[in-house]
Amino acid sequence: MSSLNKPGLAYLKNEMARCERRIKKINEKPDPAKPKSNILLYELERDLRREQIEACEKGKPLGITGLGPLTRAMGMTPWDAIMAADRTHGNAATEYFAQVRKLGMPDHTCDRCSILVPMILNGDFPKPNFLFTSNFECLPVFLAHNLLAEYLQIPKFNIDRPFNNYMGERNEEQLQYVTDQIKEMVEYIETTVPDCKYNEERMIELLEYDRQYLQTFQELWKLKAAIPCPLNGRESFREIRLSNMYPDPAKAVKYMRLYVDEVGERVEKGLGAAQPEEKLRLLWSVAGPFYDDPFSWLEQRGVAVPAAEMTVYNGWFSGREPIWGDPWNGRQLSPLEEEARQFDFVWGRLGSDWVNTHLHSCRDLHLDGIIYFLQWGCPVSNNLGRVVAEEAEKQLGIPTLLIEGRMLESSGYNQKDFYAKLGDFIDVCTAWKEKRL
Amino acid sequence: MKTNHNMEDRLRNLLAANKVENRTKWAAAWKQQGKKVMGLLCIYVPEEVISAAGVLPWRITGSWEESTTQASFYRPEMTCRYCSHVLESVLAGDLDFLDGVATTQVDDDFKRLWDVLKYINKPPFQHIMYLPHTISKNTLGMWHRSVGEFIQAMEKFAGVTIKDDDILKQIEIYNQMRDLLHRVYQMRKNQTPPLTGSEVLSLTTAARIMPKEEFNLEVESLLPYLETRKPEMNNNKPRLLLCGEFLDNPDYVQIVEDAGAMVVMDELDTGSKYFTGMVDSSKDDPLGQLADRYMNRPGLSRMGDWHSQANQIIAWVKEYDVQGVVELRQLYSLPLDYRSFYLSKILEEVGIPYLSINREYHPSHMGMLSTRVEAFVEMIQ
Repeated sequence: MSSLNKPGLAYLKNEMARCERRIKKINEKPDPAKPKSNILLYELERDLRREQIEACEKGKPLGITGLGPLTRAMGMTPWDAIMAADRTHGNAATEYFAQVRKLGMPDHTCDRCSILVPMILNGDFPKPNFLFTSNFECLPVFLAHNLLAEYLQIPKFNIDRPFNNYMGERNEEQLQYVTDQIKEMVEYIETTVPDCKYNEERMIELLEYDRQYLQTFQELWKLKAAIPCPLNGRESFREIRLSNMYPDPAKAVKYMRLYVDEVGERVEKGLGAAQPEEKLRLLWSVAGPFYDDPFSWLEQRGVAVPAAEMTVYNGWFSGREPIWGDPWNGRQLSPLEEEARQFDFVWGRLGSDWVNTHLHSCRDLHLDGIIYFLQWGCPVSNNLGRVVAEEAEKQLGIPTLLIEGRMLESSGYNQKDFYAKLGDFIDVCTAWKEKRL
Repeated sequence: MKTNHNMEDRLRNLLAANKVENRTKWAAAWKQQGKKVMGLLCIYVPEEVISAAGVLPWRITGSWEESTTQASFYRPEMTCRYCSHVLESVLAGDLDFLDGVATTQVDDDFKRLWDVLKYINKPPFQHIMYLPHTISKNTLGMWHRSVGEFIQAMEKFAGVTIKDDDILKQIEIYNQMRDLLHRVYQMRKNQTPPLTGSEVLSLTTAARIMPKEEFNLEVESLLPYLETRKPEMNNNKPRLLLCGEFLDNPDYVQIVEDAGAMVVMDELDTGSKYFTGMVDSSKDDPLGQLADRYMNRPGLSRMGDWHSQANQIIAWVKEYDVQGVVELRQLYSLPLDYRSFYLSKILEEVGIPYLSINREYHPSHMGMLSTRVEAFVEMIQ
């Protein structure tokens, strides 16, 4: 069997080839409109895919233990099927959805969590050697991972965290609770997954890289507040990987440094993404049609999208949520406590935090409205869109567009209708802005 | 003969308790005594605590009407239909008699329903309990704490002090209810069960809205009658186990039975999962024993232990001499959607026929469901 035909490698090989093509293109004919640092980003992505291929071929463990660097510190190569699913939009996604329906699975759940299952079962993406599940993730991610683990008999460990805003507290007992579970998970992996052993030195090293990486994102957040906004919407919308995901985290930190410096230069020159001039600034929330580019469409109409609201990111970027290495109640956390603290996506909590993160982002970045994408099968965000809208109007005097859609399945997408709604919303935001001023 | 008629009437009255026209009767009577009523959404909230505070626990059945116009303002169409129908009832004012609502964050839909209830401040008191999704020494400890916090919240809500003895007394009452329902379920193993599947669902949902002492008295006095009761049923019909969640409308069970089958066991949170598992009252730690019982009994599909859940179903299939499993998955309720994929593999491996189909929360598309169940029943016959 050739390596290309080996189960799980087709996707990785294709992604690697795509990155190589882009690197070659940038080297041969750089686009002055795009960040020069992009080449490093493609190299990082290529290196991750190369490492995953090697892990598959040599039988090294692939897995995921959460958000932080524990995966690598356990000796596993990060397994990122959810983010891989995000890249399978358009026709490939439609084919996967046909399979999903044929398998008797619902196609009304979150797109990425539907696609994930046939991707793995078909062998288009490698089967992991270990999976974690948690109540801090959204429900469809939990269910998809749980299904894979139970169906394919993959070793799994579930970590439960209390709401950190439950009863308004963030206390030592709760931190200890999650830390103890992580210690149990480490033991479980060491006894269940061959070649895995916790390496604390590696953990500390990776934590430091993540800290530096996120510190540059905090600089970027300040730059995003500039008027005009220097970032285009596609950059804002990009779901990031932390530096620990990459085989060379130092390179990831270097990439972010270069990227943020480039953005800083744009700010100094007063360059903005919206053309011919910035009239409005919007927050894009939850997800969007990955098979289309509404951001360019908006920018052509003078609308900038400085930020997207997803999971925990804006909490870190804005400095409202602690990043790796920040003190906890006046002390430094141990590496596993640090991992425990970060088991905490904002939408795993009660709703007030999800509402507030929108309001904070809008205030910080001087935004005029929110585009709230009602992604099919995402109960955690869908069922709070109206409350976000009401609070944004009440507290900030800005409107929200609740717009239904699917992030990967494009067969039912009507671009004309979608853009018409965006167009109407621009008019509403403009009128409200004039009223506010 | 006359006695039997009387008993049949009493049984019919009991089975009609959760019908729309009767549902609020006990809550209204309770309130007339100047006492409070607490609406419940999820089977993990320990009801004994509520009763120990002198408050009536009352499981919320959502509106059985098709329209959720008001709820759709907050909840898009494609989200858990039970939660949407509950919100519809709240917004329509049908549940204005409730003094409070309690739930856990069992899944994202429940969590977000609670968020919206909190946001609109209806009912006037809202409590959400932390619920771990796995069982270990560690997670059970935090669950005990969550139950302890719930006791404090109930004390404040009801203006009372809840003592261990109050909890112990309620444990006794609730254990009696569990035992009585267990005895009814045991009779379902008979070649001709005394109650149809839809009648059993009517009974278990009645248990959730009536004062437990009253419910217990009624069931206890009906048990001898049930032992002799022989409904007109064809014994040659295939015996089915019914899976589902948030299924509280007996019409759905009736469809399955009208398709030519007997529903002799269920894996419903509104049925067997509600009462299975006693609280061990022999030890000195009533709070701990109470908390353990709520975690240790068969769980909802949101709990990740699908292997154990599948094994439980297989065990019940053997115990109740079941020929097939029918699952009525509520539309847009994701955990069962995913679990069904796993369950179909496991049940196929052990040779148990399995049909899993979507249904609405309110009665809808009954003809289509009926056709699919009929085909399944024919196949296993």
